[in-house]
Amino acid sequence: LLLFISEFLINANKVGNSPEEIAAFLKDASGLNKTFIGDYLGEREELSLKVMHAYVDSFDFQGMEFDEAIRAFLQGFRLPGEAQKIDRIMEKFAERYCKCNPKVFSSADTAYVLAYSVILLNTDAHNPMVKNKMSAEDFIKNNRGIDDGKDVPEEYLRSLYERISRNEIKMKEVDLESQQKQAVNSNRLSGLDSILNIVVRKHGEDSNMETSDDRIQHMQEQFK
Amino acid sequence: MGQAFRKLFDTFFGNTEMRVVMLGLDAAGKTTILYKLHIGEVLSTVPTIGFNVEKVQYKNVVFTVWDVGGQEKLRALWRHYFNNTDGLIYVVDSLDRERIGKAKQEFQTVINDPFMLHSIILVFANKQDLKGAMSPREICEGLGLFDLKNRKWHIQGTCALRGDGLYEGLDWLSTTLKERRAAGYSSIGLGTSSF
Repeated sequence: LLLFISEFLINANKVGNSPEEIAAFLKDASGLNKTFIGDYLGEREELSLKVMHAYVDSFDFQGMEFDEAIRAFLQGFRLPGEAQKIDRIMEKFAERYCKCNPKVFSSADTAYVLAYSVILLNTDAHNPMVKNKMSAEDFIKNNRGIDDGKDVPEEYLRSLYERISRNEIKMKEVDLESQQKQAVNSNRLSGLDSILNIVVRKHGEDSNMETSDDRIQHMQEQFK
Repeated sequence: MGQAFRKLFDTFFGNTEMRVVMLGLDAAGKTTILYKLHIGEVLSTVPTIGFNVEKVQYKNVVFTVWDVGGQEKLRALWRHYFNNTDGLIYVVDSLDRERIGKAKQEFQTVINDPFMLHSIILVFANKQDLKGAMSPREICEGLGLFDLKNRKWHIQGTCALRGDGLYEGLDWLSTTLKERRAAGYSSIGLGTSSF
């Protein structure tokens, strides 16, 4: 599916061949399904990895607080829920954040473990399925030794904990409604259908009104 | 008397809570499994940004299942969720012969974590419907299940896309957990498997 989409986009001359051009397309195409972008960026295939790296490298996080940068970064796509996908995406985010802010952490590995930990905390603090919430002390303890065996300063971790706990990392309000529909759709439809739904939605049409063939035709017209 | 009756009532009608972590290499099928087990058909709210967490109720047991995992550098972070965990679901891609050794490495590291020593272990041998899949027995050998001492484990063939085998696995988890709690965790039996 992913290969099909990449080849389809390239053959349609909508984007060029390079990972940078595909990444720019994903970043700037406001009509694209953010859940799909997130799943694509989280894939393990070589092209997806290169595109994800190019996507992340297009951000400028200079001067941003760590959690502020994460919030800005995660506005462009829905972070997948699978652990290894989160791992790959946040590792690259951490590398980029450290290039933009070389003095904040002693190494990209520290930022990487902390970024993953922030996503764990956001899940723990705000997912209604999680009953026993992580305390500030739990968070600090859990992050002991992540700076190459040393500790990140406790006050830094505590303030990070407070900001995430009080203010959930989530998509902007303007994206909530469509993401809610897309969340339902992605639960019901196969991957290809959810992509076809992108095209249909851009025309303001109800997806239930059309057959798959009609959606394919619309998609082809979209990319002419 | 009232207290005894209440306790009896709860035993038969109340829900037991069970905390489960799900692990496995990427592309093993963890997300599909969680969605198949999801309570209800339609998501009523936007999912929280972060890891997949699902609550699954089956035969008076409520499972809270976390999808954790990732590179070795991250393992210290998972341990918060290993504390007080009742069970591990380890998902294996039965087609992935190349990486069964890596899966074993991760699996053995997790089950030997001090916080996990009392957790019961369910292995889902996923993608059993596909041609060329390793059999559950091959996966037992690949993960080193036959060598486990003093651990309660079970392997279940599954096809997550169709939901096959998933509730059989939960059945084992819920039955085994209830047995352990009734026995006060004093009995530690040998592993079982069904092929």
